[in-house]
Amino acid sequence: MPHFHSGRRVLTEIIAGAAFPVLLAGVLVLPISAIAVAEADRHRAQFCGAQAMPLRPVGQSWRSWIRDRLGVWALWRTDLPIFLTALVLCAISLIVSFFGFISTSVLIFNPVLWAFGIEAMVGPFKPGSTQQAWLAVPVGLLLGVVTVVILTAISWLRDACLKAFLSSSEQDLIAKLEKLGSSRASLTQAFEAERQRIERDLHDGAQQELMAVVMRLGMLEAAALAREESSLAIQATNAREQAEHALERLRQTVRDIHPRELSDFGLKVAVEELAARSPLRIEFTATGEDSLLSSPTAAAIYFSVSEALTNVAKHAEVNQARIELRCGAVGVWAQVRDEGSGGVDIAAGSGLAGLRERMHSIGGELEINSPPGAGTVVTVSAPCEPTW
Amino acid sequence: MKIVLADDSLLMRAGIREILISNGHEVIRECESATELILAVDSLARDAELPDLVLTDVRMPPGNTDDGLRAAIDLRSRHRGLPILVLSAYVTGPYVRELLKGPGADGAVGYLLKEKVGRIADFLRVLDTVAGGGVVIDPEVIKYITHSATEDGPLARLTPRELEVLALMAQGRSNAEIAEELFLSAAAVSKHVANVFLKLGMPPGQDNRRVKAILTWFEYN
Repeated sequence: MPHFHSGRRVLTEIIAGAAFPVLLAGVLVLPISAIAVAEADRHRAQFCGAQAMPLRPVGQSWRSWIRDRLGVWALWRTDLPIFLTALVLCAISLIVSFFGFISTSVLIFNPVLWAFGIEAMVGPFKPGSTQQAWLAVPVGLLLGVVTVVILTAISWLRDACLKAFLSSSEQDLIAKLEKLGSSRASLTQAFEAERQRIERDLHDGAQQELMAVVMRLGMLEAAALAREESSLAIQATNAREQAEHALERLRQTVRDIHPRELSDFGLKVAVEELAARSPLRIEFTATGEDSLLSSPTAAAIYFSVSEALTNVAKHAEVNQARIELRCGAVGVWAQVRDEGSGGVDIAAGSGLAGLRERMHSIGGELEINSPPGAGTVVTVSAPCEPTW
Repeated sequence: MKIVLADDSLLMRAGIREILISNGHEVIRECESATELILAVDSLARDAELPDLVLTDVRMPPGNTDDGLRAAIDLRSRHRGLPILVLSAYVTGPYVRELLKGPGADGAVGYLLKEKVGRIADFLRVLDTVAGGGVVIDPEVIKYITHSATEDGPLARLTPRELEVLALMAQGRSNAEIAEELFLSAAAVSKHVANVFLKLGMPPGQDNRRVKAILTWFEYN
C-alpha cells in the first residue's frame, strides 16, 4: 500500500516556506548553496517516502563532501536546477501557508472573536452578525483542507522536479540499488531455506544410514559374544563405537547448520536451550511473542546469542552471564551481558564479525560494547521481517 | 513382550525389528507415520490388546517435525500407563521435557538416542525398565542438561554425590549398577538414594519414589 505521508509533506512545506529568505540569501553564495539545498531536498524527499537517496556518503563531513561536489559536472545539471525550482516553490509555499493557515484560523475562531467584539475580516468576508460569524467556521475548515491539499501538491511537484533533474547515471544507481535490495532479500531467504534443506537431508540421509550401521555392528557384536569369539567381538565393539562417534560429530554439525528446536519450538525455547547447554551459569529472561519472527531473523538472532555465549565462556574469564530476549510485533531484541574481562574486538577474527554481516543481511544490527576490564555487552536487534 | 514400532525409515524399522525379534520380543504393528501409530494403538486398545511397549521415532510424517513425540503424549493421555520409549535423532532438552511433562508422566517413559539401539544388551535392559514402569533418559541428553544451574529448588539441597547418583537413576540404572559405576558399596548407594528421596520430600512407603525423584530432577534441571 502506498504511503502518502501527507503530514510529513505539509510539515516540510511549512519549513520550506519559512526557509525562503535563507534560500534567497543563498543566491549570493552560489553554487555552494545549490549543492546544500539540493541535498536537503533529497533528504526531504526520502523523509516523505519518495524514492530518493541523499548523495553524501555516511561518515563524510558536509564540508569535505561539498568540496568534492564542486568539482562534479552534475552540480550544474542537477543541483542548480533543483535550487532554482526550490526557490520558486518555497516562495509559493510561504505565501500559501502564510495566508492559508492565517485565514483558516481567523475563520474558525470567528465566533470567538465576534464574542469579544472584534469584526475579523478575511478577504471580502466581514461578519455582520453572530450567525454570519458561525458560518465562517465550516468555510475555515474547508480553506484549511484546501491549504493542506495545495501544500501536498507542491511537495509532490518537488519530488517530480527532483526526479526530472536527476542525471541518468544517478537514476541508474537508484534502480540498481532497488534491485540489489530485493536480490539481497531473496538471497537471505534462499540461504535459510538451503540450511534447512541441508539439515533435513543430513537427518534423513547420512544420519539414518549411520544409525543403521551402528545397529548392524551391534548385532554383529552380540552374535560374536554369543559364539564366544572374543577377538571378533572386540573388533565389532570398536567399530560400533567409532560409528557412534562419527554420528555424534554429524549431530553437532547438523545442530550448527540449523538447530531442530528453533523450527519446532521457536526462538525463545531455542535460546533457553542454549542457556541450558552452556557451561556458564545463565540468567535468562524472555518477553513477548516469538511466532511473528521470520525464519532467517530467528536463526540470525539464535546464532548471534550462541556465538556471544561461546565468547563469554572462552575469553571473559567469568562463569556467568545474562541473556535477555524481547520479541514484539515489529521486531526482536536480544542482549548477552557478562561482567568479565571485556576488551572484545569485533575485527580480531571473532565469529561476531560474520554474524554482524548476517544481521545486516536481514536488516538488523549487532553491537558490541566491551571496554577492557568492564565486561562485554553484545546487543542484536532486527525487524520481524527483513525490511526490503 | 508385544511391541508397536513406529519409524518412517524402512532401514531403521528393519534394524530395530531384527534386534527385537532375535531377542524374543514380538513386533505386533509397524507404523510409518504418527497418524498410523495413533490408529494402530487405538485399534489394539479396542480389542483390549494394548502392547507392552510403544517404540516411536520423533520426526515422522505427516508434519515431519515432532509428530512422533506429539503422538506419544497423546497416546499417554488416553491410555494411562502405556509404556512409551521415544527413539530420537536429537539431543534436545525441550523434547524430553515435553515428554516428561505429558499428562501421564508417572513413569513408563524413556527417551533414547536411536543409535543406542546398537548397544544391544543396554537397549534390551532399557526396554524392560520402561515396560516395568521406570524412566530412562539417554546419558547424552543428561550430560548436557546437567550443565545448567541448580541454584534454587529442591535439588539445591542435594550433595554433588547425591546429584550424581540421581543422574544415574535417570538413566535407568539400578542401585547395583550405580554402585559399580561409582565404585561404591551397595550400602553406600542405598544410603545416597534414601537421602535423595528424603531431601526431595518423598517419605518411605510412597509409590514410585524412584520415578518421581527422576521427574523432579528433570523439572529443576
